[in-house]
Amino acid sequence: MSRYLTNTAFAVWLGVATPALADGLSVVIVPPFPTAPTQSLDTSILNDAQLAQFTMTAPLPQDLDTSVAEVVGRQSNISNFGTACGPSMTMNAAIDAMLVVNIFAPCLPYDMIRFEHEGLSFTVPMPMTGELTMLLPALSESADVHAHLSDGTTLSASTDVPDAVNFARVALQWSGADPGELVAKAPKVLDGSVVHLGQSMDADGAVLHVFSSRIDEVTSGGVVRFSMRAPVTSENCAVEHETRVRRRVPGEPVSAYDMTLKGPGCEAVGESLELKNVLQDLKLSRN
Amino acid sequence: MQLIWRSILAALLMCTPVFANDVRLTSRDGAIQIEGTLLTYDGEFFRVETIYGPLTLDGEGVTCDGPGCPDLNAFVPNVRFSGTNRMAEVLIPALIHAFAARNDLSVTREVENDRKSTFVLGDKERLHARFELSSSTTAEGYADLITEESDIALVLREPRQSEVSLARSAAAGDLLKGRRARVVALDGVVAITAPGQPVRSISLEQLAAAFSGATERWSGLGGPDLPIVRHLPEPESGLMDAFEDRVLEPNERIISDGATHHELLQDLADAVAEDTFAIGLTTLSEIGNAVPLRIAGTCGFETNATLDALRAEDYPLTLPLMLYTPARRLPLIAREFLEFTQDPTADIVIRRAGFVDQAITQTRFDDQGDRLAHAISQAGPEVSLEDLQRMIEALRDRDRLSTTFRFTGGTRLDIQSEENIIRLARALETGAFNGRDLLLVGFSDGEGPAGSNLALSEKRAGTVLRLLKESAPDADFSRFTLSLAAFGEALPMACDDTEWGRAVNRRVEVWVK
Repeated sequence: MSRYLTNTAFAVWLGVATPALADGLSVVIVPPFPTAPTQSLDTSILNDAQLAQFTMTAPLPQDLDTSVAEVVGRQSNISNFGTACGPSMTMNAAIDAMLVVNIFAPCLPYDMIRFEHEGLSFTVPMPMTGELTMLLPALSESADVHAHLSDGTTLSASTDVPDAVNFARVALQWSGADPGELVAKAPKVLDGSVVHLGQSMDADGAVLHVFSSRIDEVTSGGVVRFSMRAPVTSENCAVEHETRVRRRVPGEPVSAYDMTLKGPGCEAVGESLELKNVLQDLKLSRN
Repeated sequence: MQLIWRSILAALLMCTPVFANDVRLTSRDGAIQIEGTLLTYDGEFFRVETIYGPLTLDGEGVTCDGPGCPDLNAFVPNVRFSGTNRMAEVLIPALIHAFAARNDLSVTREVENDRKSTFVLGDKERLHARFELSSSTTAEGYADLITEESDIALVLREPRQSEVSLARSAAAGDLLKGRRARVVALDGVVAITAPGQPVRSISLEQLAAAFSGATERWSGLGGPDLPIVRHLPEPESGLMDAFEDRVLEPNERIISDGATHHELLQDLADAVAEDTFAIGLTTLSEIGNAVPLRIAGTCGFETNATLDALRAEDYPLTLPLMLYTPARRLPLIAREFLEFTQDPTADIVIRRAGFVDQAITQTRFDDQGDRLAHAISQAGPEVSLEDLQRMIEALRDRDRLSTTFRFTGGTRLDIQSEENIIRLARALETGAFNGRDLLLVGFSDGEGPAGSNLALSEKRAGTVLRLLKESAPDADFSRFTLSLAAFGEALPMACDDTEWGRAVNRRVEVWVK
């Protein structure tokens, strides 16, 4: 399909294809229009002479005022690197109940992508190449991940992660500018760590911190203390912190809830907000 | 123009009393008017501070005027909890979440700081309630209840005499009248050490000496010749109060300077876990990575703070976690929440939160070898072989229920046992023991002549039977057997040479087949 599209788009660009075909294509393709300006769509090369070759035999189904250059640009659907724009996502289960998520959206370099997994979300900036690979701890045995792109496209993928039942995972989503962090204090014998995901630059962003520890017969007991810590900055002092918690521990029902944290206010800029008693500690019984 | 001036004047005159009395409640026929400051409105009833003291008026029967009047249509009940952080940190939030989930409500927790949060319960259509939670101490919980700054107190002990009289003078009602305390969960006061500490058991007398500072080295407790580093909770906390009442005072000890006091028990547990010299006082729910010490008696009994021992109150330092309600009406959703905390479905929530629930569990006769071995080794001239054989005969084909009744002295039940009466009565009413044979078995301590001890243990079993029958009016007593037995001092649970040991021994057990 994509090769067909690429060929067709090329044909249109070169002015080979008939306008009727181009007309038909605009219905077939719903191409994501890049938000960032891309070199390949330099309309200056589309000179008037070339454009004049198009004669409209039928009106475009979209806005008639849409400049022809834009239509052509949109239909070209080619990234900086000559690849098709069509965004895609793949996801596989990896060792330790992690998910390898790969996003390919070459026409959306530097885009802010919002990932969503089990009701929690975080935002990740796309690199210049428009390709992103990351590791995400699975929060469920049948994991669904959705990626929302800035052009409105939503990509979804799902995979089974049977090993996820062997992990205790406490996830904290922290939204807004200058988000705080999940702090876990675990005894050395416990194999646990916090995975930090995402970047949050503004009110629309969110980060996700996931404490993960394998729980099985050989696990030694212990208590993991959780606390929440956020810097008080001029960016976040005036607003409430929106957070969401999801706790998934073997032998316990999953719990998920929202929390709103009132900061100490803007006179405390430079200090930090620390909450030690809000998240329930993780108690692992000694076998 | 004159009209305007008049209106302003009238408004000004009106305003003066408005500051003092923000509501005026008028009966439907207009005959009675009550002015005052609105304390609470629970969706059904107004509670107003008046010159006559606080009054509760049915919202149906009055109309409300004044700036303090609530918006009756958009009314969202606000339930305020205040008291010990032992309950406010984990237990109550867990119960609120479970309560909301059972009622298909979502919860958003608004966190003001580590000590103050509000749980907003609602669904897509509307807000159902706000549960405000203040985390401090048992004493502050009672104080807030008395000053009507809270609706439900979270407490670790019953009110002290000073608090009862304060409540009386503040017209907050008699704090002890009626059944105001509900035991929600159980915890235990435990002494902890680092995992490497060789001393593993300690008597209450040694505990008092070690924490007060009188015993300065581990060698005084049978350990190596190293200093004891003491870690204690904040003075005035409910846990410290309980420890003072039950361990320090009976042993005439007071805490000397030099101990480290921790505001948070988790910090205390962490500090102890990392220091082999340290001994810490905490609760079973908050031992962290430290290890609890067993409580030993001089005659060889040792009790571990286990789930079963706490439920049966066989462990001497059981700490009931209670909700204390005032002598006034609470909003419907608050009453529903209180009801929920007593429901068997809340038991699992309580256990997951790290506390001991009051579920009725059974222990087989075969698993109680330790107790029987002690009974035989402790049998004195007053407990004959026949007495022991008679007891074994009565109990050997039965299981012991975790439900055990203990007495504060004479035949008055302690608070945990009062709760046990209600729990067992409810189980009888719901038919949980239909077709079974329940035996209430009275025991006594070993002080005094065996004959009178036997009579006393019989009397205690009789008291429990009477209370059970009173508390279970809907139970069909023909569907199960409920009988009495008494064996005096024949099966001690602890040593009789201390007051706490004797208190543990004065009990009524329930055995079932």
